[in-house]
Amino acid sequence: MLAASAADVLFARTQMATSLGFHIVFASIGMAMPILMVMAEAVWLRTGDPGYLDLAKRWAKGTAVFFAVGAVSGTVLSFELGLLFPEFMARAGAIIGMPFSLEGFAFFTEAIFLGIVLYGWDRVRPSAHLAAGVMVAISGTLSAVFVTLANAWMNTPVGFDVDPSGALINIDPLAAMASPAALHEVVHTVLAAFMATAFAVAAIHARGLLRDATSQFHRRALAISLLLAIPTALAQPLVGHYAGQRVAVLQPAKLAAMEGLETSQSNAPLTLGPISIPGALSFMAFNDTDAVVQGFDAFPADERPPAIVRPAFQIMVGLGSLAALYALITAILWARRRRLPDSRRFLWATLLLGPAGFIALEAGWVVTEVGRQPWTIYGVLRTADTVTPVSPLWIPFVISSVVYLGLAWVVLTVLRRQIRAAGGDHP
Amino acid sequence: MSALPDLIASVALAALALYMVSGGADFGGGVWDLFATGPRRERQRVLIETSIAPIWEANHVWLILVIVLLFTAFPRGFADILTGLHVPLSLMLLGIIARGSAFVFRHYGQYDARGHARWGTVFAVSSLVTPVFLGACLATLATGDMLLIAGRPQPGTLTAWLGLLPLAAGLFTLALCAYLAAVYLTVEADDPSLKDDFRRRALITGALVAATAAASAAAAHHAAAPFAKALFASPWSPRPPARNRPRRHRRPRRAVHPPLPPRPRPRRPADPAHRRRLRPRPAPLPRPPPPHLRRRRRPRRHPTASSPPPSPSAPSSSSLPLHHAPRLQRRFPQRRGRWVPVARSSRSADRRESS
Ligand code: HDD
Ligand code: HEM
Ligand code: HEM
Repeated sequence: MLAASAADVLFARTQMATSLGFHIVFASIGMAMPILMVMAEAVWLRTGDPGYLDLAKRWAKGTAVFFAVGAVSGTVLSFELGLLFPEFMARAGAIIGMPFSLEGFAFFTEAIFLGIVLYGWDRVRPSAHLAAGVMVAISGTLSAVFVTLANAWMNTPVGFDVDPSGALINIDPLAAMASPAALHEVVHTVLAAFMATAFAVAAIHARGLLRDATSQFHRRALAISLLLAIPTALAQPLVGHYAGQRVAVLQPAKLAAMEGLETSQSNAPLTLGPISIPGALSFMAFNDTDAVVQGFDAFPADERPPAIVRPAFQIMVGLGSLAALYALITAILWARRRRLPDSRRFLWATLLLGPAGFIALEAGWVVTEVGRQPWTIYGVLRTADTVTPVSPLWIPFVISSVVYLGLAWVVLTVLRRQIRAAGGDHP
Repeated sequence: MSALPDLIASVALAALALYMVSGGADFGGGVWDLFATGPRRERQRVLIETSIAPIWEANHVWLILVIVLLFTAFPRGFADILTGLHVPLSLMLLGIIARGSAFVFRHYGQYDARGHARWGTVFAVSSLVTPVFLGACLATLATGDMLLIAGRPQPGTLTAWLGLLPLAAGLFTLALCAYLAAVYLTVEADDPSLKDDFRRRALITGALVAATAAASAAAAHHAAAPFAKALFASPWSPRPPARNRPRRHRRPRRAVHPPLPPRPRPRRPADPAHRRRLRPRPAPLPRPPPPHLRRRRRPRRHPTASSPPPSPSAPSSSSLPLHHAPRLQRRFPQRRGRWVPVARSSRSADRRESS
């Protein structure tokens, strides 16, 4: 309808993807760090070991950086939705407004309690401080839940009618929030944020231990982060499998893209490089080796998602399986010896898996978002029809890419400095 | 019928005001960081840095609230505003990113003095620029120079922000931010000499606020006549000094804006001159925009069940060149009153007449 050129559409999509991919890192860390903080603080309250208090304080300070950058990038995002995809907002604003308003409340709560956590160490009782930390963790997670509900609706839109002009009418915002994809997206996304952050934190402290095997600071930090990393990594493939089964029913074109399945068939094989297991895909998707899985041929050419979905899916599943394996082995070793494993081989494995969580998380979002293409609202509104008529869009695209690259680089530098300072004076 | 939209718009306005007094003061802090001078310059900077901890990036929540309210309650309007103001809003966002992150990095980066100063400069300069764009965006809406038909900007819309009024209002916003911050910092400072520094700054910027406000009002008379008229016709608004004392002393009583009417009949202007200007218009229909505005100001189309937007293949109104505008207006007569600033002024005029 709005004749944005094909190039502009591509620039708008890529800019949105970059901004979201950037924001989600900070949002995830903002969600998960409070949990690690609360865990460390709770251990301190139970054992009285001041090392854990110190750890909690340091993590709290680190969290403030991510909170602020997360808030800034989130502010930018809410404008970008309208700057780049005005027609989407014009149609869907009234629907996704509900979860976004709730997200605002959650964020506000989070900011207030984070203030108590950061500045209240000496002003409130320890138990009250711990409770404030718990509130930060809960409200941070809630904000993610609400935003993800908005995304789930885009993937499986319900709760409205479409009038002949294409406008969405008879809107029921609550029904829209309870869309069919809501459950698996929310659980999978929240777990992903916890898992990705926990793996990254564990890697940082594993590196500290590789440099200085006697550092109690790094040992405590590694133990706490593994306490979060292990259960989430074990649960994630199960939830992911459930997500896949839901996608098979709700968005068959996305499933075809994930599996690169050309033709519809029963007893569909699971293919990975040269290996092909007959019937496995049918079984994974529908618990039945004879079930028919739809391939690309079941969809018109202009309704097939781009090919990048398949590699993204394989990266997510591959890294997720690897991480689950690592979690299983670590849990067994830890339980057997009743002592945190600390062989160099184990520390190296922890270090190398550090980025795995975030890579899987970004890949997963590519699966979900690119797999939804060519639709922004699945089956209702095409992406090409939503892009702003303002042109040329390569200018904002280039500027925002440069800004985000620069920011990423600076954040990494700041983080390195903080970690170095933390490791240095803490034997 | 109009109660709910008005209510939501009022809440959005309140949120915007809260953003100005909270987030705006943060920008002002950056301004004073940039203009830190005198023997206590470093101590001024330290006070500013400790007063706006990074946690206050959370102040953006008010801006977000405005955005969310707009797209929830006025989705089509939101889409059109963000299309029409694409450029200045993007520049404002760049400022917000630069400011927020520079502040965080300076605060937590554990940089040496030089790195610290470099981030300080980024922080201060972006604090200076961002409010200007914010004010300019808001003022552009008041000019009514933006026109979108079926989501497509018409000629002139994308550059509407490059005007005198947006510039004046941008500077006004900047002055407000600096003034607020100076006042807060006066309160915040412990040390009397530091207090004095900021008190002096508050007094100076207070004068600048008045000057830029007057400049904006004057610019509004030219660039946003309906807005200015509605603004000064409001019983709340002070009459602009220039208009109270017209240069031609021969006719001191014929001020364009009459003195406040007596209490019992607050809505009826007492001045016959004023009344004559308003009278001839038929009361029930909102009147068309004044002639010098007529070419550009036209109601936006609202796709509703009763008037479906043009389908992609149909010859769409959006492809019509500007001079076909009068015909367009005839095609959607029932929407004529929708365009906000005009509707506001005409509505208040109607009320005045019928009361
Ligand atoms: C730490 C990150 C992480 C890990 C290890 C995994 N995932 Fe995942 N996955 C995500 C992070 C993620 C995600 C980024 O959070 C997504 C994007 C949207 C969503 O709901 O979750 C996602 C989406 C997503 C979807 C699409 C859901 C939709 O579009 O509605 C499927 C089918 C899977 N995942 C399946 C899996 C499987 C079978 C995994 C097995 C190991 C797996 N994921 C591990
Ligand atoms: C289109 C997508 C998104 C938009 C528009 C968006 C918007 C925002 C905004 C505006 C903020 C800052 C809040 C404020 O200052 O008032 C924010 C923060 C946050 N967002 Fe997003 N968000 C998006 C995607 C996500 C996703 C997918 C998640 C999680 C899975 C998420 C989780 C968070 C969290 C946890 C915060 C709190 C900041 C922190 O703790 O670091 N957001 N988001
Ligand atoms: C934070 C995690 C998220 C990531 C990493 C992400 C990633 C992406 C990517 C890669 C695209 C481009 C897809 C393409 O055009 O090929 C995209 C588009 C988009 N996403 Fe997401 N997404 C996230 C969450 C969300 C959420 C929560 C919303 C909900 C409002 C959302 C709204 C959009 C919109 C409006 C577009 C543009 C239209 C389109 O391309 O379909 N995203 N996102």
